[in-house]
Amino acid sequence: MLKKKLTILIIISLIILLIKVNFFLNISQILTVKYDERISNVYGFCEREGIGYVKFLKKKFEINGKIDLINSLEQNNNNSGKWAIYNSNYHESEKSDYLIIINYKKIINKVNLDNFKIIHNHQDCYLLLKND
Amino acid sequence: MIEILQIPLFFIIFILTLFVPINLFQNRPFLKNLSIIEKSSLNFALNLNFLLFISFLNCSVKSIQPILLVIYLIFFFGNYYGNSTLLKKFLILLIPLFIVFFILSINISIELFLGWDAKFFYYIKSLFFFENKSIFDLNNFSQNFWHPHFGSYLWGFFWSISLTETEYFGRLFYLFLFCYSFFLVSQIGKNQKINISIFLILIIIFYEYKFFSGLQEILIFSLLVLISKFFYEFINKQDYIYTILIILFSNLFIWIKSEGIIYFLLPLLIVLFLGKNSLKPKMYIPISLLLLYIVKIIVYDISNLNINSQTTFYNLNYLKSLDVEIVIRKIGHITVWLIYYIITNIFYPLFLLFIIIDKLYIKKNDKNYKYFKLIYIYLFYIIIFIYSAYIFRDMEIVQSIRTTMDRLIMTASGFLVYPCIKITLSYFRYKKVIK
Repeated sequence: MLKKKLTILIIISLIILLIKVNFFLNISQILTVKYDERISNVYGFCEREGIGYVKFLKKKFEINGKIDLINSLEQNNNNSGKWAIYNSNYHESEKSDYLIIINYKKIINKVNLDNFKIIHNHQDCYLLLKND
Repeated sequence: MIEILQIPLFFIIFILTLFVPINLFQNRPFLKNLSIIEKSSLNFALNLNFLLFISFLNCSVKSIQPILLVIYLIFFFGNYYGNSTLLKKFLILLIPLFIVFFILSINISIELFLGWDAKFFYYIKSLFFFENKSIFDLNNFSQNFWHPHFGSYLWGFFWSISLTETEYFGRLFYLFLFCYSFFLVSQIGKNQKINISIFLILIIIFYEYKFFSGLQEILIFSLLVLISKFFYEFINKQDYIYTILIILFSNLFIWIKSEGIIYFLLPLLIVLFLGKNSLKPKMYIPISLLLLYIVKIIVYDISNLNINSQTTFYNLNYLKSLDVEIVIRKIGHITVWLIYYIITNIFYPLFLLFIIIDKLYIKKNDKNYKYFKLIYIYLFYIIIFIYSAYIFRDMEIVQSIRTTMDRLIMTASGFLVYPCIKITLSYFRYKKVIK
């Protein structure tokens, strides 16, 4: 009798766990949505922190230089997106060659595009290379 | 699809740390009191300390991984060649661990977001290790001094094994440690169905993605879950092999978080529970801890890291400026928030409830009595630590509490998981629901 009850308890617990973590929805997503797209869903592509766009650029251009990033979010250290462009090969005090801008129109006063060469543009987001 | 297929592969890599260097099925005199699963945790403790040692070397994770893999495989086949029946039996025992690990790994692979501290400190440090840097390069990261490196090392180490070089695979080791700790403490009797039920219930109660968002608290929590069980076994069996397990796991605390030093000192509690004639452990436990801390000082000195990381928040000038009024105001805030966070953490109310049940229904059991005495001392110790940490912290008190106390309470609750299981089972046995 106890054995039967325990088996039922195990099955119910397993079902609760599967529901709690949205297992079936998650597994369908992992099968159909690529990692980079999932990153974009979490952090935004050309919006919010813009990490999706950063990942896309890093892959497409295989950028070797140091990159800086500006997004339009109200800065609080946690949403600057700097963690995604950190490069351990460069010292922090070194100046960046590249600049990624997320939602340029909202921060138009902060960056003058004339000082840069536009390498890539998607909607309101840019990958820029500093003019010599 | 490749991500899903990698999860079982990572599980195999992780459980390899449970099988070597000690043969789980060989009966050695000094391991006679350890069950097979406890022997696996001795292996786990040894391997984690071995990885810690490797993290001190000036070599990249990618250069060391193939060597480690070969060594581990040689050990594995050397140990278990001709033990296939026992091995199969033990692997069957681990199936629930794998199922839960797989389910939760899928959740982590979808949620993906990193916590505040993770983005700011731990991810970047793990990136150093992922990009083939060593502990000697960490000084190039300006925020390095805040926290030790071992959690990030594990993250970077396993991240770089991933075929797709996907970051979250490094964090799956945190999940494995968490699942394993719950799995070990749920191995409470011979009836595997009861054990599995306890394991699943614990996971349902406690699992939240945010704990695996790269924050280090879950590592300390999981280690406390393990240590708490070994304290119980030590009090029960008075076998010193458990003190070795406790010391090995405790050593990791000081390499994971700054406040790890508080938990690192926990083995000293063993001394309180030793008999009058136990002079030897009374000596070797404090000496071992002292030596382990000296190792940290030496490693930090050699690698030019700053061991005194918290001078921004804890400094002499601020201590001098503290007066009675400020202290009383701080104590008021701390007390209110402490009660709030204790109530919202599942294990504290459960523990209190179970203690009441224990007092009302269950007959005094000397073994449990001594263990609960230890838990009370632990709780007292943690509360003193929390009050001191916030009173002496040079930061606006409410902001300080609201940004850190929930995690502090969560971390410390790891020590209560095992006593909660013990009291629940005692109650069910008393009610004759189970034998």
